[in-house]
Formats: sequence, C-alpha cells, structure tokens
Amino acid sequence: MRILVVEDDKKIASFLQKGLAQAGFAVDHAANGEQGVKRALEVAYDVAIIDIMLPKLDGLSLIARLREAKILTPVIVLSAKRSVDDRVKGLQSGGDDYLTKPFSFVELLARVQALIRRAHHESEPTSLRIGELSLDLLTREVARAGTPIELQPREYALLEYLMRNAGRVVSKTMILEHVWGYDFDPLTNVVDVLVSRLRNKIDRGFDAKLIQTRRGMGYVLNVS
Amino acid sequence: MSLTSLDRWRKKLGFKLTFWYAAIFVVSFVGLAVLSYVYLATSVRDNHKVIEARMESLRALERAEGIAAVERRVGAGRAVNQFKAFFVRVIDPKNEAVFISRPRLWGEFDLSLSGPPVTGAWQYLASRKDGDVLEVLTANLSNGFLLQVGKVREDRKEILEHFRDTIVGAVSGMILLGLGGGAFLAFRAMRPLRALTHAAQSIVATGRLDARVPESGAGDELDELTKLFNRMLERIEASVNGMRDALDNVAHDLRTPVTRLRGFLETGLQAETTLQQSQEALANCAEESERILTLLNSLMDISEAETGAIRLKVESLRVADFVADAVELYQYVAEEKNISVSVECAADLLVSGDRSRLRQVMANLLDNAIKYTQPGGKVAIIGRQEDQRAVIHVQDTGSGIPAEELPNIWTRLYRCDKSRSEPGLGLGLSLVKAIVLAHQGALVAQSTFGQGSIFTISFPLGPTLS
Repeated sequence: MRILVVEDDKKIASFLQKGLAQAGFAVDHAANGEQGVKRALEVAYDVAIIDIMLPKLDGLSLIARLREAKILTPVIVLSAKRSVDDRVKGLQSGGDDYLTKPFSFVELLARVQALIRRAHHESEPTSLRIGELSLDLLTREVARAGTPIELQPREYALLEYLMRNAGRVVSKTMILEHVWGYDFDPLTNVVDVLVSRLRNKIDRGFDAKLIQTRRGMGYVLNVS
Repeated sequence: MSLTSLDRWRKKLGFKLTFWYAAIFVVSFVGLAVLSYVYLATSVRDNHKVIEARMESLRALERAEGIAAVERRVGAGRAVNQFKAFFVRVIDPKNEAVFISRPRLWGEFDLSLSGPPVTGAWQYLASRKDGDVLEVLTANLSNGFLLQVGKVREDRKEILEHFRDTIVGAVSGMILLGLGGGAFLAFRAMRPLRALTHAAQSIVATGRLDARVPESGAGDELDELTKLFNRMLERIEASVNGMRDALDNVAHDLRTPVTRLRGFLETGLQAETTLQQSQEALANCAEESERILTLLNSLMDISEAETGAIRLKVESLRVADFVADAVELYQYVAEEKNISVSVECAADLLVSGDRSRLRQVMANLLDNAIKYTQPGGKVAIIGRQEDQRAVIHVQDTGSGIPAEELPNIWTRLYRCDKSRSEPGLGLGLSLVKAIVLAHQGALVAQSTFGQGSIFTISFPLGPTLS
C-alpha cells in the first residue's frame, strides 16, 4: 500500500511519514501542490493525504487536477478550518474524506484504512471474531468464550466499532461520531461511561482485559 | 488651490449650503428688482406720449369751440393742476404769441420765437440753469394759428438707468450678503455635524471608544443623529469590551492547561525518568491538549453563533426527536449517577433549526442538569406548545443557583462555584444561549437555591409537516 502525503509543514509531514510507515505503508512526501501533482501522475497511490493550504498550488486545485487526469485515488483532505469548506464537499468523489487540524494520528490512520478497505471492495463479513470474543452482525448476538453477553444498542454499536478496528486505537471523537453520530464534544464524558459499561460486560470475570484505555488517545480492543 | 482640492471643497456640504443659500437669495433679489423696474418703467410713462395726448385734446377743443376755448381750458386747468406742469403757447400767423401758459419757475428756458416753429417736429429746449430739457411739440390749428405744447422731460431714461445702476450695484452687495449669510447659516447648521465628524475622527485616530459627541438636546434631526451615533458607539464599545473580556478570559483559561502541558512535558524530559514515567507524562500531555482543543472549539462555536457567522442547516425538526437524541446520549451517564430522566414531549411539536446544533443545545442543558443534580435526583424535560411557540423546559432537582448568580450563568467561562469539583469549561450555557439566539429563540433560567432549576428555551413554531 502506497500513500502520498502532500503537506508543507515539515514537522507534520515528518510525523505522518513516520506514523504511516510504522503502520506498514510506503509513504511518499510532496512539499507543495505542483510536486504533489507530479508525484501522483507518476505513481498510482492507494490513498493521498492532502493539505488544503499549500504553496504553489492549493490542495483543492491539486485534487481537481488529479480528477481531470482521471486519477481517482481516494483523498483525505486536511484543513485548518473547523467548518468544512463546501468546495471540499463538492470535490468529494465517493470515497474521499476530510479531517480538521489538529487531528489525532489514530483517527487519520483509521480513515486511511477505511478508505483502502472501501476502495478494495472488501466483502462485508457477517460476523466478527477477535480471540474468544464473537459478534454476529446479523443476529446481533455477542459472546465471549461461548458465554452469551446481553448488550444494549449503544454498547453493541461500540463493541462492533472496536472489533472492526481491533488492535487500533479509536479516539473518543471517533466513538462519538460512530456510535451516536454526534460531531461535537459533549461536556461530560459520555464515552467514558459507555466504555466502562461495556467493559463491565465484556471483561468482568476474565483475566485478559480486552478493552484497554490509551490515555490521551482513546481505547483499543486487544487482539492477542 | 489645485483642481482636485477645489473639487473636494466643492463637494463639502457647507459649501453647497452656502452656495444654494446665496443663489436663492440673489435670485429672489434680482426677481424683485426686475419686477420693480417693470413697474417703474410703466408708471413713469413716456413724455412724448403725454404731450401728444394733451395736444390732441386741445386741438379737438379748438376745432369744436375755437381758440378762446383752448385758452379757457388751459387757464382753468392750471387752477386745478391739470396743466400746471405743461407749457402751452398759441401762435398767430404773424408768429406772435397770443397765449402762453407755463409753470412759474420756467424762466430758465429760452422761449423766444425767433422764427416760425416747424409743425409736427420735436423741439428740445435746454435749460440755462441745469440739465433739464423742455420738449415741445408744435401743431397747426385752424386759420394758420399754431399750438405748442411742452413739458419738461422727466428723464425717464435717466431714472430707469439710475435705477438699473442702483440695482446692479446692489446685486453685487446682495451676492456678498447672500454668501455671507449662507456661510454663517451653513456654519451654524453644520456645527453638530462637525462635532460628530470630529468625535468620529478622534475615535478613529485614538481608538478610544469612550468618546461621545455632546448632544444639543434641541430634539431636531441632527440631535437625533447625534444620539443615534452615541448609541451606536455605546453598542460598539460594549461589544468590543465584551470581546476583549472574552479574549482575556480565553487567554486566562488557556494559560492553565498550557501551563500544565508544559509541566508534564518538562517532567517527561527529565534525564532520570523511566520509560513508564515518560509515557505517563506524554499521556497527560495528550489529555491536556485535548482539553485545550475542546475549549477552543467551544469558544469558536460561541463566537460564530454570536456574530452570526454560524452556518445553520435549517430544516423542519420534530422537537421530540432531538430531545430523545440528547436523552439517549446521556442515558448511561444518568444511570451511573442514579438520576432519573423523564421526557414528556408533544409528538407533533416542530421547529425550524439545525439538527446538530439543537442536539448540542439539548445535550448541554441535560449535561448541566445531570452534573448539578445529586444522585437519586430527577431531571424532567417537557416539550410543548405555549403561546404559538415551541417551548422546552429542562427541570432538575439539583443544587439550584443563588439568585445573585442567576444573571451571570450565561456569561462565558463563568462558573457559579469556583471551588466546585465538577469539571467543566463554563462555556456550556453561553454556547446554549448563542445557538438558541441564532435560531431566533429565547431562553430563561429560573432557580430556587437548594431546590433545583428550570431552564426554558423557546423557538418560533416550525412549519407543519405536510
């Protein structure tokens, strides 16, 4: 999997490169829009991460150029503005996505992986299984080591989301968005409460604690 | 004065006022002068015509009744002033005057008959004393007699010329007077405007918003403008001060988490820290930066909503839906704290609004209610139509708000009890207020200290779903 990062801020570019490389991707970096176009025309990338504010050629024009050249690489747009520009939405071709700065790398990684999965049309599984934990997407039955677990709808949604991202950290913002469809931070930590409830049902009585907290980042469902 | 500065000067209101005042003044004066001239010209009639008229009447008399009648008429006329100003002479065929009548003081004219006068022609006799001229007309009577009628020229031309000269002389004076009067009036009329301009200029120059234009109290339009200007300044001052305060508060509120962030970083960077300690420090940093981001986002939301920069995706919404969403979001939080949340909402109640923003409003109100309610307490949400408005009450059995604190709860970063251990940014309610107001809504908080609070928000009724 090869990713193009078009970002002019050296530090951000550097941590993106390192992080993505650690996650197993081959990463190319372009420091301005024109260089970005050149790279994208040379190599068929699986995903491109493009900043909007770029020297020489801004991110939106860059994407427009790529689309003109019939390069349909899914793009994640990085924007410093909180409200998403309508033009970004206009450019979105199905798989594209956007993130606002400052973003958590964990979230960026999750979105990159989601784009790749979508682009490769991975077939939708009917059940998820992580170690001794199983979740049936059709009957919505959950069991750990054969013992059925009763979950309420939001608990189920959270577990499904964690299982789909097993081994990867998911942030509170991502949970809010996927479990409740909220795009703002509630003041009291409703996510913490939900996670601790789910943890009570999944991990109580087991030695191996599946749901782990990564302080300052989010939560992760342990694979091993 | 260069052309451009002249042009600029020409555009000044004071100049325009002066110009128009002077123009109207002079035009009226000239109009009046022309009228007077015409009147004068018609009233001081032509000397020749007067003499000819007299001549005709006397000749007619002579034809009818003879020369003696002429003499009688002139004599009688002199007595009643009819012929007082006229010179009348009858000359016989031998060129001898048989009758003469002339004003008493006309000695200065040479009236001697040197030869037979030419009939039908005008004779002009100059005075020996001054410039007066006696105009005389001679005509035939019957039997070779001649009749002469004359009158001192009342110098109509001269009078009119003199009048004209006076008027022309006066006009230049009038223009000066008009300009002077206009300038004076304009100066006086422009005084409040100048004060206004001056105040505005000093505000622009110094950036001081506490300057005010003195109000004349006259109650006229300019006074009204001045008052309006002052009120506008007050509003601007208030909003600038509000922004400054908010910025101060933000800076202050950012200082604390940034200080903590720095502290954690320094701890992690110390040489003797273990890996575990470093990771602990980094995790703290991540949490702290998350808090800063949340704070910034909330502040941005509030400013956007307050300044109208917020982009609302307005649609017709069922109140019961977004209330249920918020309740669902806080369901577990309430359960954990053993607080019962009840909802009683009219199913057909609709408002026009942004779904996400109204969910945020409800979430914040609910968050607040749950936060300040002791375990075992109750939170009730009631949505219903009251007086053509969609009204939502959020009632709790919490600690309540002291009456003196109540007006401050909507203020940014205000926390009722600073020592309260509950986490919070103090932005929730100001965000609620900003969003509700951006939706043309209204909000009220009622509270009895120690017994609980009721937060009420209301919106105009939305369009009914067809």
